[in-house]
Amino acid sequence: MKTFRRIHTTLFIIGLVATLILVSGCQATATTQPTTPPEGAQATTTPQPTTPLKKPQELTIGLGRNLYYGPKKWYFLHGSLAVWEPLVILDNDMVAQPVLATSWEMNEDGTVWTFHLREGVKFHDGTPFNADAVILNVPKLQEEYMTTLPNLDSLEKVDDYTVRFIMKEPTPNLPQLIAYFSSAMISPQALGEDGRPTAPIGTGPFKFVEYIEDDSIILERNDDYWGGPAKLERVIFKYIPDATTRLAALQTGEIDAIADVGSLQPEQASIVEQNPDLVLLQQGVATTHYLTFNCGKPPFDDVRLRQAVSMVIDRQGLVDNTLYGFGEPGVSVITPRAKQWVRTDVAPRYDPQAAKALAEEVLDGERVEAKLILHSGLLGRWPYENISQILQAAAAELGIDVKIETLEGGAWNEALKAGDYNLTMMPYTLMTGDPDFFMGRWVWSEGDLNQRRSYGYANERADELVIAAISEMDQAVRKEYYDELQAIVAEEVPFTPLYHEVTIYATRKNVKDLRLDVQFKPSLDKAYIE
Amino acid sequence: MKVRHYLLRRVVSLLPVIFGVSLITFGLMGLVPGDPAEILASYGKETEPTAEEVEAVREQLGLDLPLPVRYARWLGRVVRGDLGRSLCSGEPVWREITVRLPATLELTAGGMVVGLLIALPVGILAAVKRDSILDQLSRALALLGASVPSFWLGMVLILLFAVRLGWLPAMGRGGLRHFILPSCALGLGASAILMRLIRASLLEVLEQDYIRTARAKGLRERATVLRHALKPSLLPVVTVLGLQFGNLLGGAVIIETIFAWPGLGMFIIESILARDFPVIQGFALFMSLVFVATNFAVDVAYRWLDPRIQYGT
Repeated sequence: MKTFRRIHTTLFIIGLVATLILVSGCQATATTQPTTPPEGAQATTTPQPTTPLKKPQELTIGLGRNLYYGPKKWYFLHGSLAVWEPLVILDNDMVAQPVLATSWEMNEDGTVWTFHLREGVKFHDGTPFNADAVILNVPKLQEEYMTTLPNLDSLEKVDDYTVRFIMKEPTPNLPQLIAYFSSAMISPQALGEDGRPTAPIGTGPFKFVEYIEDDSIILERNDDYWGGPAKLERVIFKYIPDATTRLAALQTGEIDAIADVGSLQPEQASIVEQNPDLVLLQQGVATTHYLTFNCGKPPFDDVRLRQAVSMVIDRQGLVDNTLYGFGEPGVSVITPRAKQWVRTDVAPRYDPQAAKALAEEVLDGERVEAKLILHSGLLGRWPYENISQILQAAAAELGIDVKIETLEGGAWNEALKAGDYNLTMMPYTLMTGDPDFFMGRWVWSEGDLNQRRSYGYANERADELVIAAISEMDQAVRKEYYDELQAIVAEEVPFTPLYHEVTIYATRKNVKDLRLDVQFKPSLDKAYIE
Repeated sequence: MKVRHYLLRRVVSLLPVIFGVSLITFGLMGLVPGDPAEILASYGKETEPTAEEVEAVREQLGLDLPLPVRYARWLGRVVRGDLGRSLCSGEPVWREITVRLPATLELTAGGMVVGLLIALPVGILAAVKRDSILDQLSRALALLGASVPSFWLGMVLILLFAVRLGWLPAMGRGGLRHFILPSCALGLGASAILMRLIRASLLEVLEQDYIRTARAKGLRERATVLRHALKPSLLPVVTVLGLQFGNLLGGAVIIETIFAWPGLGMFIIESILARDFPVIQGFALFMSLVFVATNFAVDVAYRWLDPRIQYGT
């Protein structure tokens, strides 16, 4: 048996050594700083910002999606990276504000818009930003954004810092339509032969340094930024697809912030709140989640059943129970973020008694079936599964037996197109902050989403209002039109807002002034490390 | 048969395999629900594309052509060594694959090493000390290793070693420290099967006549096991190791997502969701090549382990 013991010992040593190799890797580094800057981080010696900050001004943001798109997209990188800048951006009330354009005015009938450009701005490659750069950029973005700029006829250079947009039809809301992505400016030097950008060279507070495939995007401060240099010297956007890992990385300090829409889950909020090293923040965004009906076929071709379903949903309870309070119960089909447009007095009512009475009137004691389809890709980001189960239970009380079916994204789209559903749920973001971006696509009987998704909704008065509002010059009159539209939709319920999204995000305690805006763009120009 | 002939035969037999794989992938992609033009048109956009945008994409990419025509075109290009370009990024498919390959190979190799590092000593011990407590323990360990899903193990490792103890980074690819947790998450499952196999195979060999002879000669037990019994007992292990390599490559898809490891697995999932056909096709082609190459390596290893094996039919 002695020999066996010897074998035993030898093998034991092998195992021990193996374990030691693993453990030594940990122990050797256990004493070092939890955040190790990537290679080359120290290489850049940039002049200190106005207020001297001792800590290395490097910020790593973890995200659940990859913001690098490459030369296939006109804007190359997501706007959140602050590499390129638009002519115009929306503020938190979704009103157009100047960025590279300083002011604008339209002619009497809204067919000619004149934009005055910021002077003394240079792209990262030194090329001056002027009217020529705008003219080279905008028509290309228009191709990508047919949705938002369908009326653009041509652009005219008036002088080096003035351009005119000539529209085919009156366009009273042009600054809204070209806000953010639609007017991203890339250096003319970086545009290839086909006019597409070959490199992400913009005018923003940060310069693009490197993209590591599916891993990270590295940015460096633009010291010549027209608005004054940012405090951060280096920003790294790290792509971490798994939500649990993302939060773990924030807890260990490998990343300094999780700052993007949908990157921190509501159920993770309490973990962040209980951790003294972390700060939990929130921001209402322009995304609304809707329950939509197929009005083209029974049972929801009857408006009373749609009203009944809408009234049986406890939207406040939904927000409290499925979103941990991080949401805003649905008010109108127009997001409350578009402050000047939302109509708050048409908020859907929660009245199960009235709902039952209405349903009874239609069904007369009979039961009907309804198919609710869900997009599997959306389930990981929003609690649609829980919501649909709550809805299922509530609708059963009305005599409607809801069958829930989860489909892969492509199949879901196809079922919508074919009208092979009764109910579904989806998010929609009012990117332009202008109600036409919703009304013209969802409510208008010829609207592209109304048709492609078989909402089957048509109302003559609504159609008139949508058309009239597009070309109405007087904003007060437009407001009246959109108020009436919101009331019609609230009454006829072809779709109903369930909740308006509130995005939660988190930073380490030493990260200061990092905030997301209504379009979840982080304030990289203001943030710093304490 | 000469090795050269054997090699030639292998390469020739490779062609129908690859052709078959590409045909099946193409056919499957045709059956996948959803309109690829619509999915591609919405890539990287905050809003839903309009009908015009969808049609523009369809025409530009030739998605309006019938499937056989698209396949023939694709094949024609591949024969000339052109895998095409990614529809999402616009980069050549070959570049997209090769730039991420090292990360995945690294992780797979790490998983194999961890698997062997555990399986070899424990498996040998369990065989030598058959039916002892040690053997029982190893059996329990194997059962555990085979039943625990790798994504769960990954999460637990992150929570324990990164968040709670702070010893290792939770995610990402970097130095050796970044490498440890994902390799363990990947390798522990593989070690279970290997461990049992090594034990069974070694036990069988230990009952052979020549081992009895060796023992009768008075050879020490350690030498008997390690020098005479171990090598021949590894033959079935190598076969499974070859198969495991494929398994690990597949398992790496999940582990890569959990550990934010920028490899092929994470990339291919996104490409499938985005219906990036050239990438999916190129990837399938590439993976079938990897599998064929692994099998070939296994065959070569056989010869080394047991010189009696001849390359032939």
